[in-house]
Amino acid sequence: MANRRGEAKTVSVPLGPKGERIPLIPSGEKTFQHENMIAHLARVVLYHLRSEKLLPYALAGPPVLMVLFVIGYPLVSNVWLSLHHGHLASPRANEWVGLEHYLTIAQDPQLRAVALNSLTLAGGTALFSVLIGFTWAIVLNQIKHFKAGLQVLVLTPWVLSGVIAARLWLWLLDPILGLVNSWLVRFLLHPLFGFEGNLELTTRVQTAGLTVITAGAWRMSPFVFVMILAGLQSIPQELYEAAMVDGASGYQRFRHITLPFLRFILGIVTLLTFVWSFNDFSIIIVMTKGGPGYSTMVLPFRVYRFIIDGFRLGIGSALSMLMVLFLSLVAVAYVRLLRRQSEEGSLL
Amino acid sequence: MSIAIIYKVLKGLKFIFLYSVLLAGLTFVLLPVLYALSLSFRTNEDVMKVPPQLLPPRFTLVSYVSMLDFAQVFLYIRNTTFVAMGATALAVTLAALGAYTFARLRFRFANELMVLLLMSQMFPGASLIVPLFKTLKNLGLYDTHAGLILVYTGFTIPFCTWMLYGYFKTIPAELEDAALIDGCSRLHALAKVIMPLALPGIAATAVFVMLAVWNEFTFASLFIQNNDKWLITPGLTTFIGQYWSAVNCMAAAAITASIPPLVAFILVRRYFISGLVAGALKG
Repeated sequence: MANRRGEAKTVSVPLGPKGERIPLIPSGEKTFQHENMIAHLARVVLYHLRSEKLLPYALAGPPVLMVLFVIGYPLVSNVWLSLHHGHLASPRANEWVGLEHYLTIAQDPQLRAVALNSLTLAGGTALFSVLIGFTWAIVLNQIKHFKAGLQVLVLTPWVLSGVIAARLWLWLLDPILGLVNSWLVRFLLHPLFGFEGNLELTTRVQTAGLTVITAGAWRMSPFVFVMILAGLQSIPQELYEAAMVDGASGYQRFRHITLPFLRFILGIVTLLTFVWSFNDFSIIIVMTKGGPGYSTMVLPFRVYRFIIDGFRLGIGSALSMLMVLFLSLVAVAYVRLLRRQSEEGSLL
Repeated sequence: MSIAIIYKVLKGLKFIFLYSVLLAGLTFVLLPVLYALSLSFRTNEDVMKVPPQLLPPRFTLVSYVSMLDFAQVFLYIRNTTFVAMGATALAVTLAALGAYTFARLRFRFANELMVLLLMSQMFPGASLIVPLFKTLKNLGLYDTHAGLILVYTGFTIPFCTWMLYGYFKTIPAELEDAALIDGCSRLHALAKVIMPLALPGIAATAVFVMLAVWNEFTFASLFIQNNDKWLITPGLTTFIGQYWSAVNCMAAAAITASIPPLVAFILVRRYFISGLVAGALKG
């Protein structure tokens, strides 16, 4: 039967054996009736869930919510605190002060020195940890024997806790009882320079930063090692074979095959180690407590001092907001690196 | 002299050079650990000998026994294991769900959320202490292991999501599509097809989280007050006094505390590296 507009649609009515109408809809079930709104709603919700429109939100929701809860809310709270007076020991604690804390920070020369310290120490730690980890990855990729054992050994620094590692390094570098100092004096400084007496490292302005960097790089290098080893193992071997057939030397193979493949992963681990050592002050608090004078004082430690020792939540929060601002710029670079990497795949 | 002999000599020299550099590097890497081992096998008087030596003058296991006089080391290790495993399970599960969503499903805020998640890795812990403290107190989770697990989960999810995102991207989408065509729902496909393939990546991520939580100090020391609930990292500070430190006992306790993560690490080592090979590249 044709179904033209305006024409009544005729449907052949199914008839049962006795001639009665067989209902098309089983009795008892309703379609969109107001009397059964709940069933209707349930059907709508289930439809949407099954059609997977809500699935992304349902799956990604819990992790995002966790992060918002643990990081997002404290961040907002920090912003609020940084705009108020915030000195818990004073009656003016909840008073609005606007950007006063930020101005104080910007005009304080000591805080500028602390910021510079942060940059140099974090940069040095990142640089050395990447150098050490990179070297280890290259070496362990070449070695044929004892691979598993060596890998576990190189990864050992990661297993120790930060404060424990810092304390061990502190003892190793002790002027009188330190193993490293005594070895350096006995085997290096005395024969070469006639050095006598005890070598002071953590308590001298010139070398305190180096000790912090050494301990920090020691701790971070396993992470770099593991990432770069993974990167090295994914370079197709055929490229090396082809290059060898074409007569490329070891150095040329390294420069033209290995390094380009590792560009992105090197960038990412450098950024990550920089950010992590920028934010982490556990080594400094154990080894130098800010250093002789203020020479190893870093920003997160300063924030810690403001908040925990001085109860000055306002200025502490303002300083950490500035840190966050700086790190956000770093994060932008990081995200751009990731984007470029995923666009180009992992190839050149 | 024939070229062959010169060549062999040079090869031998290269071998010796490589292995001595390796030895030097290993010394640097292992020095604190060897020193800690050496300290843990000494009596208290031998710790402060001048000039300092790497090998203990008298080998003894006394400190492993007397460390229990200072701190309930095994109780703390048990607590830490509980918190670490709880945080690892929760963080890896949630991150896997999130990473799967970002890697496969297309939805409106995907890009923005990814960026947000990545940037949240960058915030200094020191500035988040007070608000978290207040939140935990308000929720009644202060001084509980559950509260600590929640905090650690929140902090590690961004990094885990990033790692697992890279890993999921390397699993070909055709496998899932095949499962979907055969009638699986998305969730079913995720559970039965993707997860078994993703085990190396998940193992790698779990190891990261476990190590991070096991070695964490700041939150563990600030958010747990009850001595019986303490974790091992703040627990090790009980060996350090203002005037005198039980160095040998602390070294013994530190070595004991390092064994569980080391064992866990050795068990999953192979999966760890292969999980990173895929995950680290695509970012």
